[in-house]
Amino acid sequence: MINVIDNYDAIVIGSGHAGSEACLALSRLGKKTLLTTLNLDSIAFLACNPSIGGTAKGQLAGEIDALGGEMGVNADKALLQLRMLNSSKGPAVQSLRAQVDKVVYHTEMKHTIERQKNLDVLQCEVSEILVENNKVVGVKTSMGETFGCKSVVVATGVYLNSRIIIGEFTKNTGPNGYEPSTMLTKSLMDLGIEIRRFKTGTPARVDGKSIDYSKFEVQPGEELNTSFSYLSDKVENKSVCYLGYTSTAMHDCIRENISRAPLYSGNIKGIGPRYCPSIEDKIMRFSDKERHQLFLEPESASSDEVYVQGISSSMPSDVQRKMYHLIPGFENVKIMRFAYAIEYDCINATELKNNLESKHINGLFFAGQINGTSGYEEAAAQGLMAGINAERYIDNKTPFVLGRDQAYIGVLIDDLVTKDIIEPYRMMTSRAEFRLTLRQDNCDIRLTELGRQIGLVDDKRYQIFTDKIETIKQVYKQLDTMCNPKKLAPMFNDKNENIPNNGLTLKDTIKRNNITIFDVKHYFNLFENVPDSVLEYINTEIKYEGYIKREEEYIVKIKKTENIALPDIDYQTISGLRIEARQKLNKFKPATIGAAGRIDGVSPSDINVLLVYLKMKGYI
Amino acid sequence: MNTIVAMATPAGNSGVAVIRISGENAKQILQSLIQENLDFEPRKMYLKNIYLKDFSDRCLVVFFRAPFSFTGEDVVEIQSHGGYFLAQKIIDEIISNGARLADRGEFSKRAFINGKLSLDQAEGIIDLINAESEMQAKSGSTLMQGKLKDMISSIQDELTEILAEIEAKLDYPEYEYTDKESSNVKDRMFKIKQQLNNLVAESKNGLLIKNGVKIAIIGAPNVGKSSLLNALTKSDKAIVTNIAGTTRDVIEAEYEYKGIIFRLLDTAGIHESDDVVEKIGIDRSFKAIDDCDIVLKISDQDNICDIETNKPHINVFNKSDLLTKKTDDKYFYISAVTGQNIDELKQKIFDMTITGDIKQNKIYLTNTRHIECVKNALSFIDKAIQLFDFTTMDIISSEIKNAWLALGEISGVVSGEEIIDKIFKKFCLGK
Repeated sequence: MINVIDNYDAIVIGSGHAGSEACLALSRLGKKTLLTTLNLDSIAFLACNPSIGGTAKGQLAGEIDALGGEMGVNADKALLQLRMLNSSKGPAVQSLRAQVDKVVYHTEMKHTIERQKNLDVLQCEVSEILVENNKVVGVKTSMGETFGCKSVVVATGVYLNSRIIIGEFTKNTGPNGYEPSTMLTKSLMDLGIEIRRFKTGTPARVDGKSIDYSKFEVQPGEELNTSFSYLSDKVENKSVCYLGYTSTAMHDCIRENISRAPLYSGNIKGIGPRYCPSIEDKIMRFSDKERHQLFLEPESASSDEVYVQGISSSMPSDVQRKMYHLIPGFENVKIMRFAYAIEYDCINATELKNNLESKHINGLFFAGQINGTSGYEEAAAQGLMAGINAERYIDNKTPFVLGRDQAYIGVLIDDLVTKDIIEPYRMMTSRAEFRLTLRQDNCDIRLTELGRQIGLVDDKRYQIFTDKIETIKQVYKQLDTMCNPKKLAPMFNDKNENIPNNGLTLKDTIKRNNITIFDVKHYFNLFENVPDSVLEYINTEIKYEGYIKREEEYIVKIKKTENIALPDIDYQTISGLRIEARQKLNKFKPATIGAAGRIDGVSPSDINVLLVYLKMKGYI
Repeated sequence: MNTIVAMATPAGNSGVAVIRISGENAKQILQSLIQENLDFEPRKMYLKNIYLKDFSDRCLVVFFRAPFSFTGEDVVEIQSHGGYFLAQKIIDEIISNGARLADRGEFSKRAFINGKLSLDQAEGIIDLINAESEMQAKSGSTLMQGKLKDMISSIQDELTEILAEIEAKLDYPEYEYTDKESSNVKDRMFKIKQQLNNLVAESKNGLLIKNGVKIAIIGAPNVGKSSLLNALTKSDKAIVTNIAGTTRDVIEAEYEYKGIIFRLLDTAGIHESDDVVEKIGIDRSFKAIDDCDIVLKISDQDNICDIETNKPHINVFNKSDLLTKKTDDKYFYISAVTGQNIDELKQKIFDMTITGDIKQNKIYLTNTRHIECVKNALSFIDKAIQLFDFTTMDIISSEIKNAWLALGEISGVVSGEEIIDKIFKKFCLGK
């Protein structure tokens, strides 16, 4: 190419949570990388809630960290409060959730990126992706500059042709008044990529000094033995959240003004997520619910702004003023930023392969909200995987793909590329069929060795990991100690367990309902230097051994049919398939029976038809 | 797919035999059989001569155009005059015109592939094809109508509801659930357990309908076991002589009573024997006892049957017409020769093997795969109930999900999206 400013291995478009992980992964793997962003002040900007983690998302953040990503480290630096959700509901569904300082989160990530070797950052708008012979060769900016590259990661978030909506008021802008990207959509469409339009929303930010906190319930953080990153030391809780409720007066106010809500007046065309409904949607759809919860979350230690979780809205500003004031404790509230809905362009991710690369254009990767997801953690996970796979593409290595039985990241990407997502996709533990295997407490055990092979796990992280594995081995060794009933008696008596007639290993005692590894530690003076988080992990592995084994057996079982290869069939000719299934199968041409079964619109009976068909045709 | 042919009516002598051809050459084959290039109007019956090598037969023929046929392919049906020989000749002629003989169940299989039948309907049809008794035919046809599917689906729907409630609480732990949104999951599980239990318990009747009730007739040589078999079946299938040890192998015969097939296993008389052949027969007699649902222990004046068995059994006393001693309540007196008490014996056998009402329109699980699925589901539900108060919700949920999946193997619905859809339909979740 002529007149290029510079040549890079890879260019990452967008500096949100996906773009940040992608550019760090690429440059850390030794690739000369350029990060372009519409605004340097928006790097790793937390545009919605000031928190990281939550159910299933905590696991995603843990997995990113275990593979050598940045999200967990950065969250720990910015941490204001940490909690473990679902601690009483079982290890499979326990998830970390943190309140973070959104100013610190941004500046820390920005600084990490600035200091990273092999990585350049440039504020500019990419207007075109340059492709030759179905291969990425560079990008062009709106100012007409051209950069050469072998690979591009598109991580534009909600910035493509974005439009915010506050009642009758609309403006073509990204979140927080940041400029939208107005030219790239056309370039993508010219490359044959299908564009769709999604919608999401955010609540108002209010002045903390104007809130009557006496009408709210304090939600403190928890003292935990863990942090987001395996690299971090124990983190401190620095602030609290509050729980409050809406009022019937507020509901009435919304009902009276519902005709002015863009969702009902037709001003919003994008498809919004069911799991992130606006307050007007909640009240209209669940009219019998007398009150809704809301949570007050601090935005930053250096600001009085408070995020009002639960009250996202796209009502006009005058209605917002009225309705927010009707929340008990908000009688004198001062809105600092109005709630808004935002519409944006994204792609149909079924156009991607499971390494997040376009099926048609080599070297073109997509990650984050542009793929139809929602959430920082979902974005970061894709960014990391796209970055890793862009590096592997450049170096001609096999793609790095995680299975649904290996990580939530695997579930996420498999869902994205095989299911026709019709609303922004949020990770949930219910989406993971092997969630007893995919726990918050074993992210490193599952993935750090893989991260080491990829090249993102540095010596420090690897040392921590191998030390932990060694400690675990030692603990198991000690747990194999056989104890006679007499020795067991004090612990069993105190814990109301029947003393066995014969001896037991210490490991077996942990299988009793009332006994944990911490009791063994206490009664037998063991594991003095073992961190509690390691003991908790072992406790879970032992108590749930049978269930974890069952999942493992199931994984082996389904892998048998899962991996039956599908030849190139014209599915239209198999009339036993339902019409929708025929269309979907012809569209996606899945490689295996397993992938076919996960396509939305392909039912188990369609799979049966396929299996019978393959058998009759002699394929299996 | 190539064109297949088979007899659609059972082999044997009958007034009319129906021959079915399915596949893309069906019509062309018919045209060559009638030696006429007729463009058949679909679903209209024609009276035509079918020409074979040496002779012709006047037949009714009908053409069904794909996909409006049983298999979803072009289908031709030929009604010829009955008789094995004639129908076989026609089939031979069809085969020499390019069709091949269908495998067992291949028509149903094609219908299934072409979307004419769901998996359980296909299974139902296979049952219907094999149906020998009236009741058997009915249980086959109910299945065909998808009633089973409806019932399984309704249990599965209830499990979907329960799962949605549990999963919502796991994925949205901070959400405040109102009383209306929280149900007594354990109670609901008990009800499902009850329903599944009933299905399994009644499937025993279903299996008896499908497979028939197996009756082993045992006793010393020459007490009249074979005579009784002949009397019950009103035939002379078993050779009856007054020479002890005439029956050397297990003889099978059957009769229908109140819509149920009863299969009789007449056994070699059990006694000490040096005859090698008879010895093998005696071993088989013991095996017949193991396999059967009920044992008829036959005694007469000279030989009291004292073979021990833990199977349900009736002590039958034969040759009551020759009786000189007083009767004993322990025995059920009959005479295979005069027919005395034979119908009463049939009733007693019925009462002892068929429990509860066999209702004509009731749904019985008769397919062993279905029964296995329901049993699996039941064991998961059972586990969930047992563990309910002792373990965490993630485990309970995994047991319920497994039950849900097991039922899905019958109904064909196992998409995880169903549960997630239900979560958002039912609960007002999200930030």
